[in-house]
Amino acid sequence: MTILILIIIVILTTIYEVPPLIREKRYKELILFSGLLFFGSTLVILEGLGVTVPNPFDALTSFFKPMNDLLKAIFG
Amino acid sequence: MMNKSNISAHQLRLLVVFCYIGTAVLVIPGTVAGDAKQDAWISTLIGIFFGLVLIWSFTKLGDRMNNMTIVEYSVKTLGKWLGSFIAIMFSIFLFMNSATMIYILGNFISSEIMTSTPIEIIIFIFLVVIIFASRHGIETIARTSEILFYIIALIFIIFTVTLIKDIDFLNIQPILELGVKPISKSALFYSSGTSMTLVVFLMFYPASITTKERTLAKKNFFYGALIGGLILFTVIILCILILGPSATTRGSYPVFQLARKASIGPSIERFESMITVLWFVTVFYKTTLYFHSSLIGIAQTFKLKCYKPLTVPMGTILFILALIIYPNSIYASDWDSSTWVSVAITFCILIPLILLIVGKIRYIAENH
Repeated sequence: MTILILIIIVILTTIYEVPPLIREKRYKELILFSGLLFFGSTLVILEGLGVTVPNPFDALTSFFKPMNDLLKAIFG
Repeated sequence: MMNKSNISAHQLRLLVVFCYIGTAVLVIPGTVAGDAKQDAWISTLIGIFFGLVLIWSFTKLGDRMNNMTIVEYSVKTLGKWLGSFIAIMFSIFLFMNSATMIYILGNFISSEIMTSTPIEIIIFIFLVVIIFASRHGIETIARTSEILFYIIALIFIIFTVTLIKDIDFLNIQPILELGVKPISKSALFYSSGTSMTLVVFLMFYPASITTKERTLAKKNFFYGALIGGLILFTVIILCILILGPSATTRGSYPVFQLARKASIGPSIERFESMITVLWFVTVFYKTTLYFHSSLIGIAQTFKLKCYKPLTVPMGTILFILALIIYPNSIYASDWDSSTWVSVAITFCILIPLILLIVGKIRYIAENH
C-alpha cells in the first residue's frame, strides 16, 4: 500500500516538475531533484518492506557524546 | 538569485511567537518541572532572559548579513569549502528539526486524540499541508499567520481565565527547595526548546523583511520572543499552581490535563480540543518554517534558481525520517534531554557566534 502510494506520488511529481527543468536547461536542479527523489523513495520502499533503516539520531548521539558528558558534568 | 519576498515587521513578530511556543507549549512544562519541580517558573524566567540575550546576538549577526541569509553569509565569510560545509550542516539541522516536530505531532495525535489511526497516516496528511505551504513561499505563510494569530490568542485567553479559580499557591512552596543546579539545568533545556530554535529566523530576518521596516523588525523580534516567553511562563506556572509539580511531571502532556480541568460554569467544559487547535497551528508554523528554510538553505548552497523542485523529494525523506528517528517515547525524552541540547547549542549558539566573530575580523581586516 505504502509503495503503491509512493509510485503514484513519484510519477505525478516527475510529470509536474521535470519538463520545465529540461526546457529551461536547469540541469543542476534536475540532478538534485532526481537524486533526492531516488534516495527518498528507496527509504520508503525499504520501510514498506519492513527493513530497519539505520537511525541518524544514534550517530548524532555518539558524535555529540563528549559534549553531552560535559553538559552533564556542569549541570548534573 | 531567489525571488526576494517581503514580510512586514508585524508578521515577523507573529511568526516569532508561533515558533517560540510551537511544540514547547505541550512538551516543555513536563520536562522543566521534571528537574526543577516547583521552581520551574524560576528556570522559565531565566530562560526567557537568556533568550533575549540570544536574540540580541542574532540581530547583531543580522546587521552584518544585510540581504543575505545565514547560509549565504557563511559561504561569504568562511570561504567556499568550509562555508558550504557549514551551510549544508545547518540545512540538515533545520531539516532534522522539522522531522522531530512532525514526529512529536504524530505521536501526540495518535496517542491522545485519534488513537486508532496509524501514525503514518497522520504524518502523511500533515506533510501534504507542509509541502503545500512551503511551495507558496514565506510571504504566504507570514500572511496566514495574521489570521490565525487572533484565534490562538482568543483560545489562550479563555484557557487562562477559566483556570484562575483552580489556583492553589501551596503548590509552589517551598521555593528553592532543591537548590540552584536543577534550576539551571531546566533553564538550559527550556532555552534549547524555545529561544534557541529561533535561529531559523536568520534565514529570513534581514533578507526577507521589507526594506523600510528593518529597524522596526529588530524591535519586533524581541517583542515576539517576549510574548512567546510570557505565554509559556503562564502555561508553566498554571501547571505548577494547579496540577502541582509531581502531577506536571507524571503525564507526557500536562497542558492537556490542565485543559481537561478548565470549565465555564457547569455546562461548558473539556477544553482540550481547543488546546489541540492552538498546538496544531503553532506546530504547523514551526515545522513549515524549518522545512522551508532547510530547502532554501540547500538551494542557496548549490546555487539553484528555485527551491520548489526539491519540496516533494525532501518531503518523502522527511516522511521516513519522522518515522524512524524516535523508535519509542522513552528514547525520545532521553534524546531530547541529552543530545538535543548539545545539538542546539552547537547550531544555535556556536555557529552564529563563529560567523559573527569571523565576520567582524574580516570586516576590520578589509577596512584597515
